[in-house]
Amino acid sequence: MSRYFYYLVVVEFVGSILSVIPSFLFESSKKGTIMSMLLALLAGVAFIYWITKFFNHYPGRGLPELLQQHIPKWIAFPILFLFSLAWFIFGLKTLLNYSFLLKRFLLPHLQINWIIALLLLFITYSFFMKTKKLLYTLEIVLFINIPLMIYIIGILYVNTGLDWDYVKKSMMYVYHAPNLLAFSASFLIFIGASNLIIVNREFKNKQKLTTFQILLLCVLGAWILFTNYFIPIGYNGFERIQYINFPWILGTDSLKVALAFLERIMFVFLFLHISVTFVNIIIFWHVSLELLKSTAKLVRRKQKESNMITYIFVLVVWSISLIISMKITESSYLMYARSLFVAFPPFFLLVLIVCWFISWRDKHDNRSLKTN
Amino acid sequence: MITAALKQTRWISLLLILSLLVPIAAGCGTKDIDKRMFVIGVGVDKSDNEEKPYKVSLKVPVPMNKKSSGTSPGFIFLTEEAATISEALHLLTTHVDKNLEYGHAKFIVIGESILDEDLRVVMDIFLRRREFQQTAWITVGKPSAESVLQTTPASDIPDINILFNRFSDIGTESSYIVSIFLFDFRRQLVETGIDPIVPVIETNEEKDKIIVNKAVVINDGNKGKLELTTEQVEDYNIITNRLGSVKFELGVKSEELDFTVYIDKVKSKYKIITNNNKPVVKMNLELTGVVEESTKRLVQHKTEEYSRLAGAVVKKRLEKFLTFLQKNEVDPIGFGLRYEATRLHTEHIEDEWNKLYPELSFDVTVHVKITSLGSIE
Repeated sequence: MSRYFYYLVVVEFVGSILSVIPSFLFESSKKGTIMSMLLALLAGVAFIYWITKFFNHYPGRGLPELLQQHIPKWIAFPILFLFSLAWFIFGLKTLLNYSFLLKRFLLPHLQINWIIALLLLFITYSFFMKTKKLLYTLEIVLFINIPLMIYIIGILYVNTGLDWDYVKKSMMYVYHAPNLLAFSASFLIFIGASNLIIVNREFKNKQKLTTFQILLLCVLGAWILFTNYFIPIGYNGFERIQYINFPWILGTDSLKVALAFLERIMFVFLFLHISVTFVNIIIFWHVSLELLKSTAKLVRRKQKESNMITYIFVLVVWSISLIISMKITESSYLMYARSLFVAFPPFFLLVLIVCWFISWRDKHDNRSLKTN
Repeated sequence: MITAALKQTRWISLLLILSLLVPIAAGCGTKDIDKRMFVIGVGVDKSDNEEKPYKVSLKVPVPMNKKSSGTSPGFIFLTEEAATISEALHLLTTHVDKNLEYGHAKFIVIGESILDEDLRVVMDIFLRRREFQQTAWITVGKPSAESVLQTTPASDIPDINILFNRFSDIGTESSYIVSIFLFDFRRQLVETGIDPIVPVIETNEEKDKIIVNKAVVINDGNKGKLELTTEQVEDYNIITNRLGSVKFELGVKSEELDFTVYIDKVKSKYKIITNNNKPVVKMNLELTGVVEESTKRLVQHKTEEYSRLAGAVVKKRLEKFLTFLQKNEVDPIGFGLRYEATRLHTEHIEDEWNKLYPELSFDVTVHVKITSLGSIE
């Protein structure tokens, strides 16, 4: 696969660490999170495998083009619109989570709507970027951040503060039946590949996902899930970890390093994470916008180039984000996120079904062409 | 012409973006470092006033001109009584002209008097507020947190350093000192299978001396506390060897001769075995060291015998220490945690352990390896 494909997957992996995902995992830490993580690993890798296999069939074409070709307009329209909405929500939930973190740990005196406005200012710029340029941005950001993040996670693993007895104790809960929320939360780590529905337009060469590459993703995913769940347990203990709102922040704050003038590495980690999450939001909303544009194209006959949709999108993003930021609190955010997370796995099943339907129609069409 | 127009729009858009950034500048904290005071130690005591049970004291360094005030930086102490810790902290902001910052609070000193309270409640603020470092050292102040923070040593060493250096292994390297970080304290406090052990800082009446060589084990479920003597602290350090750098003097007394071994490497492992009818903790220690002092001439070919003698001493000491902990129903080493970490979870595992712990016997095997008899025989 193209290296950009890995970036898409990895940005999601890395971004998961400081998101709400670990909190949701800990919520059921005594009720079978480990089983759910194992299941989610299988489901996630299978999802990546199927979606890339599908798009590898159609190099250089995104989902909207394929839908247009094989499916009647009145079905394609709601599907595209729904997908666009879903990707918008992914972006929104990441943005909110990220501004809560900023507010709590870096900018305690700034209003949350100001933080969001500041971020949106830069995110808006990305709406006018081409997909290709976006991928370049992604590459640069990951190149700068990933080595340092791996370094910090490495320190977390070898530091004496990490007590493996707590980790082992949490592993003793392995036989409990899986839990839906924990499954959904850990499955969400693997959705990065689904951005292919738009990004595949840029992958114009024939791609192939080899067995080795699948194994690599599998190992990487397992490692990230392991780190996500067990490292905070090793630092914060197992009992009552579900009551910690930001287990990873407390975990990284438990490090005392002697790195130049740095002693408290938590803020560095937060900064690194923030830049990764930033590109994550940009990608989600870019996909959402592109889907919206394609939806509009379906309705309009004339293929006229205009930025109208983008402007509307900017307006919508700004107003919705700001309105929500004024109403939402950390706890209500968690409540909404919880119900949203449970809805995500079925949604991605729908994505797969749409893909499968297209490829079935494709084969069907080919056959009928031949008989004619 | 076209390029000129393009350039113009570019400039305009840049100006627009910059003008949008202007209101954000108001968000920058306008308090410079000279308007802030960095609290270095927080002490919590119990006051006599029932309505205001918490007595909070802060130690704040005041930067001074070196020429006018000698070498040691000055400190100010702030004390206030209030119903809650946060209220006290808030009240204390009115005692100074600058903003109090807690991001550099390295010490949280709990007064001896407050140990009987539920420490989860006392510690809550330090975990909840974002400013406090998770790597602050938790200590017990004797006779009170306030007096420990007020101590100014007679020597001209900057006085807070005498605390830093002890716990961080930078200055003093002693096996008589335990140190515990806030995050570690929290996790041991809430976990059922392990009890936190906190160093005790003692100060004399003149407040010019600080001694740290004792510790307190705080029992879960608020059952009380157990004080450890200096030697017991060392035993604890040998068994856990948390930092991997425990070094200690081991005095060996036998019928023929007395000698001291300096142990500089400790490896310890333990296992809880319940298969047999009698549950037992099998502990294995490997110590490496050199002889430092002796009353008689030591001979090379008897090194193994000396090792055996030293091993027997350690074995006896540790077994005594472990039974002492067992009798007092505390578990700072975390046997309970290990028990739960090696057995599949069931609903009754905690009760099982609580029943099991008093019946445990300890089987300590110690191998001492004396690598050298020193420069002289």
